[in-house]
Amino acid sequence: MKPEELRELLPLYALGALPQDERQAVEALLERHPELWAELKALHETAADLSQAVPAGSPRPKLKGKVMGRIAGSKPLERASVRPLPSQPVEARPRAPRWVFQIAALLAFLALAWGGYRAYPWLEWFQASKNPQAHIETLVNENQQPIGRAIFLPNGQTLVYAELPPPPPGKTYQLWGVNPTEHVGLDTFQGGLIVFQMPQGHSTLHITEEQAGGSKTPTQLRAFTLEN
Amino acid sequence: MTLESFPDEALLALVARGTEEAIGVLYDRYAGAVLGLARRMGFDGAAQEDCVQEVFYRIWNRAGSFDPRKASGRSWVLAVAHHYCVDRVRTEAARPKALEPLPDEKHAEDSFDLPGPSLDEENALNRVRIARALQSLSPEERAVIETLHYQGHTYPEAARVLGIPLGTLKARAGRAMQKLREVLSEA
Repeated sequence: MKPEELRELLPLYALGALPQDERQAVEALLERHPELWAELKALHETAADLSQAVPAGSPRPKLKGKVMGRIAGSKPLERASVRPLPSQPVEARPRAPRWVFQIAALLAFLALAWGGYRAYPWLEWFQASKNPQAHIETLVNENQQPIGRAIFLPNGQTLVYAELPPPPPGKTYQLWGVNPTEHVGLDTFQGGLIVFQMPQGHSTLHITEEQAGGSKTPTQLRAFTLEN
Repeated sequence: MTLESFPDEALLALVARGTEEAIGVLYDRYAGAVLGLARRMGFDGAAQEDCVQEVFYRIWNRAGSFDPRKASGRSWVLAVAHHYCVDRVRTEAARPKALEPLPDEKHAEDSFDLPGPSLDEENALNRVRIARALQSLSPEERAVIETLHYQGHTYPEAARVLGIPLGTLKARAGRAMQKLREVLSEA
């Protein structure tokens, strides 16, 4: 099937109007045509609007208990593969001659001396992680994969390391302090390490992808903290 | 940390990790919509509740396949609900009654069941917005949306039901969705 033919079927796919075999065929083909995903996403939004165009019902209170009871204790069947943070097993290696260690130490010293200002945030990171009052949380991306850590200090200073791909041209990553009532827009950054001040009363951190310069409201969630 | 403030996408990520509290929050957000959709698609009271249970069990089991590049969290949840209802309608061959022809603009919104007193204001306003978008469609385009989305017919069945060629049905469905997208993005 050509992309044009696939595109013609997308409205019917979003409306749930394809027979099951065609639905599966379209889903398989879509994997090979990421250029159509944005259009598909827009069509899904319209179909969702149609589904919500009817009056919502009022479920009986005990229905939630039934749903939660069925779920309780069972693990999701299609769990996304949750990749642990890198921790390679240490293999026994033959010991190198002593002069190799001496040269490595010298190179490390020179690197630190030349890139001292670059190393400074990492020093902060190291110090913050040693603070007994620091609260450390894992950052995960939208596919549930751990991508970094956030260290919250009692004075609001927060250090984040997020292993994110470079944002697309014209875009940036933006930090948000989140509480049950609001999202507060914070600094923008390009991924990696950042130190910033978390607003008081905001215990959750979100990272979104925004237009360069940042936004007043969050647009596309890319990562968020999980309480450890 | 409370999960109520989390966006749907974050909740789905947590569901995929097996966080029961997250599916509870999604239930609070969407169970009413799923129940309403099941009713609109012709299921009786017991079957409507059955749909809600099955839909949230599917969401629990399939959240790992949610891809935010292809759908928002809201549209993914509602697509799971709609697919389940469609599959069930087709299996049971239980067709809801078609909407009566719209007599005039004044009554048009009523045909899309506009707002009930038990609903919160935001949802009610949202439905008014969507119903108005539906009014931007021609009667023929609206009939296609009704037959495909709310009655759960496949497009070849819908072409037979409406007595139009397949190509015409596809073209009307494409045009209708395009118009709705445009009107809703302006609203």
